[in-house]
Amino acid sequence: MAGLNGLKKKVEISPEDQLAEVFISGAEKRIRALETKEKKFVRCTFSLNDEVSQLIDELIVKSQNARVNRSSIVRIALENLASKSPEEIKEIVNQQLP
Amino acid sequence: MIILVGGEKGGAGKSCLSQNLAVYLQTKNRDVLLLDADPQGTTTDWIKERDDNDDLKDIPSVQASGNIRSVLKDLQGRYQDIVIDAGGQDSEALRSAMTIATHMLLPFRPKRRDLKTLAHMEQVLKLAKTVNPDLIARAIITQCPTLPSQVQRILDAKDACKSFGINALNAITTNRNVYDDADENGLSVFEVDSDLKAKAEIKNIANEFLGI
Repeated sequence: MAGLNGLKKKVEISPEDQLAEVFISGAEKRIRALETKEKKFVRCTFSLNDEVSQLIDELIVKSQNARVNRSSIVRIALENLASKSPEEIKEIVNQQLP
Repeated sequence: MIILVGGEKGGAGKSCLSQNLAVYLQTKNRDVLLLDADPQGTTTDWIKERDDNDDLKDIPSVQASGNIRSVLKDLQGRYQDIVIDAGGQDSEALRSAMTIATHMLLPFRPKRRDLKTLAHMEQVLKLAKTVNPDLIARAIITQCPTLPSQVQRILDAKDACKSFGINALNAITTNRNVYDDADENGLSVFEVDSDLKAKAEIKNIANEFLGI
């Protein structure tokens, strides 16, 4: 082929095939979800006042989930904060820390 | 027809059903291909044992893995029936076969650990039907206990399937040694004379599900 491989017009994938590919690739996510998680936990020390400490306990009760613990409430709160835009994070933090 | 035997639970009897259905279809003079999409290769091993036995009629077979959509598209015009043995987990092979199959048989033993996979299979089936709306999917309760006192267990398993929108066939398979014994020699239940009931079970599945 004199080094001219791969120059032919690509066959376009039909919308039906595209939909099928999305569905088929979902299997990988499921397999990942079923894999044993090997998360490593790091023990950190930080200070909370009584009010915040009680708030964590209240949130555990309100979440009505038997698997939730104090660490998971902190993690969920942090993940929620991290999902905000940089501007929103700045605004929230500045509101709490005048 | 493209008949997919699959699900998310291993050990429910997918290979056994695929092999016996393939033999049954062949006895009805249908041109059958048996496609092993299970990486464990149980059906491929069975085919090898079968090929070594000159007294048995060969069944054309092929082993494939990963996304088999294009493979099936190519093969569907060449055979009257393709029976696919998909492995016991959600996989690319299972999903890609679901996008092309005409029939899907989901085996569940009447056990909690099997029926717990119904919720996920319901979701996967819903998604598959957006791609392949003509897919006919039915559950089959397999390896059922034969004791009359255990009938309720089978009925409960069928009810559980129905509650997830996956209706179970009336036909069932029961816990019979002949399924295992036949499998070991590359045979099907149609090629051993020791158990007529097992033959009837496979025939009932084919009659009810495939109309053959």
